[in-house]
Amino acid sequence: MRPRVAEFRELLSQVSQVLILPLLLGLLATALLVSVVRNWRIVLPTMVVNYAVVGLMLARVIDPLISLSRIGTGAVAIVVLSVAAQRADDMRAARGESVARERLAHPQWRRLASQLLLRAMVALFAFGAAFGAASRFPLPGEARELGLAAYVLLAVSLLLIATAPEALNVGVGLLMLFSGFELAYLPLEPSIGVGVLMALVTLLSGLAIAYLVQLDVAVGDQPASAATAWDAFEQPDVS
Amino acid sequence: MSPEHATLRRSNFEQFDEEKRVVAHPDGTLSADANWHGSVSGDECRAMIVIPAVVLVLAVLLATALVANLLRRRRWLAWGMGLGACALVIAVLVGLAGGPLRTSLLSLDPSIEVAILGRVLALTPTNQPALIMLSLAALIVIGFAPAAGPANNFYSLGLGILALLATSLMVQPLPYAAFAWQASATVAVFLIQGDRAGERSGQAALRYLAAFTFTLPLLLLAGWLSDQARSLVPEAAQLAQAYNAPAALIAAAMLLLMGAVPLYSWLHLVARDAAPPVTALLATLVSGTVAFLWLSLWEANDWLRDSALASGILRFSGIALLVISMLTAWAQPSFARWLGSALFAEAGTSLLLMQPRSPLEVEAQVLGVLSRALALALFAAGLHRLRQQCGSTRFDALSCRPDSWTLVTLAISGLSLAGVPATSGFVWRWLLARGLGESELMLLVALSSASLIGGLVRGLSAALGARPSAVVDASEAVSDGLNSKTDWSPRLLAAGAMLSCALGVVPTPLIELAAAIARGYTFYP
Repeated sequence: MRPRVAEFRELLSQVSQVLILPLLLGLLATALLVSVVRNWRIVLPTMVVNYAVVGLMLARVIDPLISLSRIGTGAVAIVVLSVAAQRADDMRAARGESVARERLAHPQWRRLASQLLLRAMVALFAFGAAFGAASRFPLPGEARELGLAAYVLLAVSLLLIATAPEALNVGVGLLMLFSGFELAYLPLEPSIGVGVLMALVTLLSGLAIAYLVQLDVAVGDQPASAATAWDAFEQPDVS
Repeated sequence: MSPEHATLRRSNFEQFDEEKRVVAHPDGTLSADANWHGSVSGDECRAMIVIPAVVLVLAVLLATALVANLLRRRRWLAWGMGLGACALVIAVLVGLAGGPLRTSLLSLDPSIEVAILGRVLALTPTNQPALIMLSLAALIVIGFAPAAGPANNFYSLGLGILALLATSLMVQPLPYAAFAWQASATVAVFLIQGDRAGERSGQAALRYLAAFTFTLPLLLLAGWLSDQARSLVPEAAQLAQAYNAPAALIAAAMLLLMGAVPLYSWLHLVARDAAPPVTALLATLVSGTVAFLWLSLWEANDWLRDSALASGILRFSGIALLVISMLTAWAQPSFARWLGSALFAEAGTSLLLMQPRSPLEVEAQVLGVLSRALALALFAAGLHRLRQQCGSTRFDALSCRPDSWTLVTLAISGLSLAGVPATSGFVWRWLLARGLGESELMLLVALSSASLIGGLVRGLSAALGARPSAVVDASEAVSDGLNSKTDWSPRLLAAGAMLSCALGVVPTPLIELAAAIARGYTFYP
């Protein structure tokens, strides 16, 4: 049994060494998609792919089995988010509002083009900043590709946190921040303890974000006359 | 067979580079060679069960949180359990100050460290008083919470947050406190949103979580960079420059945690959107933990004390927060938003104390934690009563004149937050003035206080000018105990207001306590 584990570990390590360019391109593609699209039915599966790419890249510098467990943790966090997003969609559907599946089936092309174009341009600016930072301030460690990947993820995560209004997309930004930081930090301190703690905070944060995703929908229950339910709470009771 | 000596090496910050000897006895037991708590001999270890004090402190808080969550619908029971857990932790930590506590069967040893995932949880002479003060602050906030109408899960989640923040003070190396901070932030998300499902506090919770998430990379990178600076830079002249980056990262992390980044602060969002007792608890515990964490780092790392960059960042942010508070507090439209400005002023003043050069500044910081707890707990209760009675906290939307207890509570706790003489908030500002000795900064603090008083007077005038007929939702009033025969929250509030004034007039016991804690630090020039 043990030789098989060793072989698998060796295989993962070699895959991460040989396929570094495709992995880097995959990471750029997934980061671009997440920063451009706001529909959770596209964003969350993309995040799972992103976690897989990050995990394989990390296999270059840490124990490949630990990097595999990292992929698993990320995937679990995304599943939790998916359940919350689906429940939020169900609540929207009960109120007769548009939901993610309908928006995918019947896209509003005229509005979509301008939104996508603007987000794509901003994302490209963020990529440019990440490339500049990677060449100007290279992260310590031997694997420079990991430094570039870390900068890209950090730039996209900051972009999402700063610009997305919905809890789900801000949450995805926070999870991406963890991934980017892991790519930068785990090569410097490749210990199991840090890997486990990072996985733990990713799971906890995923839970908290899932809770907040459902609140986004509950806000829709407030009176239409007030900007928010809190504002309504602060209005005088004219009755 | 003579005892063997093992060596435990800790990395990252210099504090943990000391080598500590662990004595391995022939019978297989280990005893730490700690010179401040004494040690337990092998024979004694055999006769009794030795419990690490760290484990007991965390177990008490977490177990009580769990049980309080199960009993959350019985609020009075949960409240009593919250008070009991805080009081027990304080009693244990005070008892351990003189060394291990022993009975015939059990021994509680503060010198035993607990290793988790390669990191160590330990009680030290610096974090022990910090934990006592933090628990005392939590005791005060939880004590007055029934008058502030908290959600059912307030006590259980509050104790959970206290346990995680206590962990952040005990973990070594200190950069790994970031993981405990992050865990506490995820619990706080549920607390912030606790009794406002469907309202806007999701935004406040998200900001709180994001701010804490940013600190994780900052603190871990700071730890790694400080290690690198120490091991790789041979020249003493270059060393100061090499330490600039970690010092700046730590300062930035502290600002994010305290909500002291002017354009990205969680303070005003939480004050505006979360329930009042939640704001009181988070603002008190987080600012207290940051203050003590910073004092630990300041004590342990001379490069941090020498870093002009870190001091400059903290000083600039403190001044910026005081200026913002000075410009905005007087014009706030509601008591809830006024509280946000008051928290900005508290954070700004606290930041000015984060380059302590004398015991007076440490005393001011310690007293600030307690004074803030009392004032915020009372103000939260006042806000709750105001909303219950008048339906709003907006100055222009008060539908009735609140009762005199509410007005007195808001006035005294508000004046304490502004640092007016004869309230507990004045004491630490007085120590600040004596310790800081910079007239320009004290003028800024005074102007900020004046602006806060202006805003408070506007609010109280509006409340006094409102229609005297009280319109109270009867069902809510009964369920919360307001205006009912069994309602004892006015008595609780009166006791709190009197305590605040008494501590402002006779602050000697508090100052002696703070002075004893300040004497524990050795970084004074």
